[in-house]
Amino acid sequence: MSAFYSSMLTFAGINLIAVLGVYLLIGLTGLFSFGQVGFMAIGAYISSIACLQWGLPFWAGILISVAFALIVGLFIGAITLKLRTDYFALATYGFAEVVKTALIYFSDITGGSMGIFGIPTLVNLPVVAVIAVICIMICANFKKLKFGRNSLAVRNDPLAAEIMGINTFAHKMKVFLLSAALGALSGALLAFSTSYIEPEMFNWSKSVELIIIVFFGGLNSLSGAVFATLFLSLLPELLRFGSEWRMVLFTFIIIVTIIFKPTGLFGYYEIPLNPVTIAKKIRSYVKKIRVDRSAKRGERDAR
Amino acid sequence: MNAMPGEALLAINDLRIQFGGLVAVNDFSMELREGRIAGIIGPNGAGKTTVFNAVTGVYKPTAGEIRFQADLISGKAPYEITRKGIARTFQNIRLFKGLNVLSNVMAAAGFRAQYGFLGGLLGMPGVWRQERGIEAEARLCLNLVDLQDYQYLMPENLPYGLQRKLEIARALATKPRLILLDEPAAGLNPNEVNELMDLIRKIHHELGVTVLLIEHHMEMVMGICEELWVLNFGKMIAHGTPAEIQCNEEVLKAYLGD
Ligand SMILES: Nc1ncnc2c1ncn2[C@@H]1O[C@H](COP(=O)(O)OP(=O)(O)O)[C@@H](O)[C@H]1O
Ligand SMILES: [Mg+2]
Repeated sequence: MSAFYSSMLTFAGINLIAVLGVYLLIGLTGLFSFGQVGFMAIGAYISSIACLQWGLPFWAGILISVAFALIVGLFIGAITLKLRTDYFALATYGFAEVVKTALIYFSDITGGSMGIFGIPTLVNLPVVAVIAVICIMICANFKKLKFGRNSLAVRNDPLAAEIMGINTFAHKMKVFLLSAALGALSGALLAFSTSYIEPEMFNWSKSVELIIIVFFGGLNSLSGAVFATLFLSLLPELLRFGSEWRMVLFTFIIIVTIIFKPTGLFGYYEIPLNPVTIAKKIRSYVKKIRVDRSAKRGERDAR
Repeated sequence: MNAMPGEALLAINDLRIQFGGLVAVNDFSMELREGRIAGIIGPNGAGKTTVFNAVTGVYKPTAGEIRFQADLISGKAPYEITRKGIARTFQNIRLFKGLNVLSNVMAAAGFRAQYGFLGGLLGMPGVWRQERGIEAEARLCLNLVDLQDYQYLMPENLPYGLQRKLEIARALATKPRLILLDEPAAGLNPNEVNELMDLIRKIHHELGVTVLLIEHHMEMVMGICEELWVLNFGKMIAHGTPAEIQCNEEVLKAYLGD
């Protein structure tokens, strides 16, 4: 595989991990957050600093950055998750901006607006692919188990959810933390694959991009989120769009989606991955063909 | 923790709920014994739903207290009260859109699944067995209200009468000792009302669940309730058996005007 395609796919995989967090939080749970890029920045910076300045191995840096994001997430979640949804969106936007400002302000450690150079590029496509697949499996479990039902219940009718015995605040906190961890992991992998990070990479428009991907794929479909990420990460590269045209393309795509398929590309559909499910589908399909055929034969015989 | 015989399962003492200047419930007291089918009646706006909202923790009492099995529950969060054994349905149906019929019921049984967040996400052994257990319980609830053939439909696609039944099945999935039904017969045809009465008796007899319902449908109230409380403008104006209530002058005045 050429270096071009390999780096493109690596970038798409890293994007996917951040998108999964947004999918769980905004898609399934209906918590409209602009904060994902803040957690990505935390992941990228803490892991790089741990590696370059504290001399830790890169994987330890990644783990520490995720742990740090969880602590920050706990704090941010505690003060924002009881807010009304519109205030929650604003507060998480504010959080991401504060993170970016802090990156510029504490320039002794972060390199200010110059960023951090010379991060070892230890993360390649196979590493990202394995981690992304594990994250997808975790999200698939989330959706299939009570957490997925709780999310849809909370999104749809928080009061009824609470009356059905769901601790809605605790549930929202769990989703927020999982989403923060995925964001930080994505940011850390980004740092160790590009060798260079700067605050401008963590603009609010990055959060918007992730949100658009989730809407495009469909709020209710994990398969949709995965497909949409791969499609929308690869398409601009293949079309060789300049970065200034990316947002225009994305905006166009989201408008077309909302007009023609408001539930997103996939709606509620999930691509089956469980071999038993796939076997069942194939069997029922074969059976249907057989029944059709014998029905036709029956018709013929009757004639 | 079970209520002693004769002791109240649910006890409301001088409950007062105020919205700004409006006193929606005014020093209301009641004691509901375990094993009863009882009702709260009264004209529209009398404060009946507000009493349910106070019992289930949606509103905090302005004054007074509510006890369930002798434990103080007023001031607790709704999910805690549900987990203690009080379930309810809503006057305006509030099923979860986006979840199919079976998942709606499973959502209400989820808090009894023992797996934790990390264990679940990592698919630890035992998680899927627990999940199947929850699913089986949800199916039992659906069977009970005769909705087993609609498991995979979306609730908004069910006819109104079946949506009401689904709300009852979902409430039962929390394994309550007390179920609060807010106008369960509203919008049902006479046939469906009869079925509903049978269902309520079944819940009472087979599951041993105590029932407290709000209802305008007088035939139904008189047909299945053993005990009634009558509210008017937030105040209790009568309490007794259906027969006593039927010839109570205050009640007639409240309903017919004078
Ligand atoms: N959340 C609320 N805020 C303000 N007023 C309310 C609220 N809930 C109920 N009320 C008022 O309290 C009174 C009792 O309402 P409710 O309990 O719903 O009556 P009903 O007996 O018909 O169920 C009504 O006047 C209603 O407008
Ligand atoms: Mg009412």
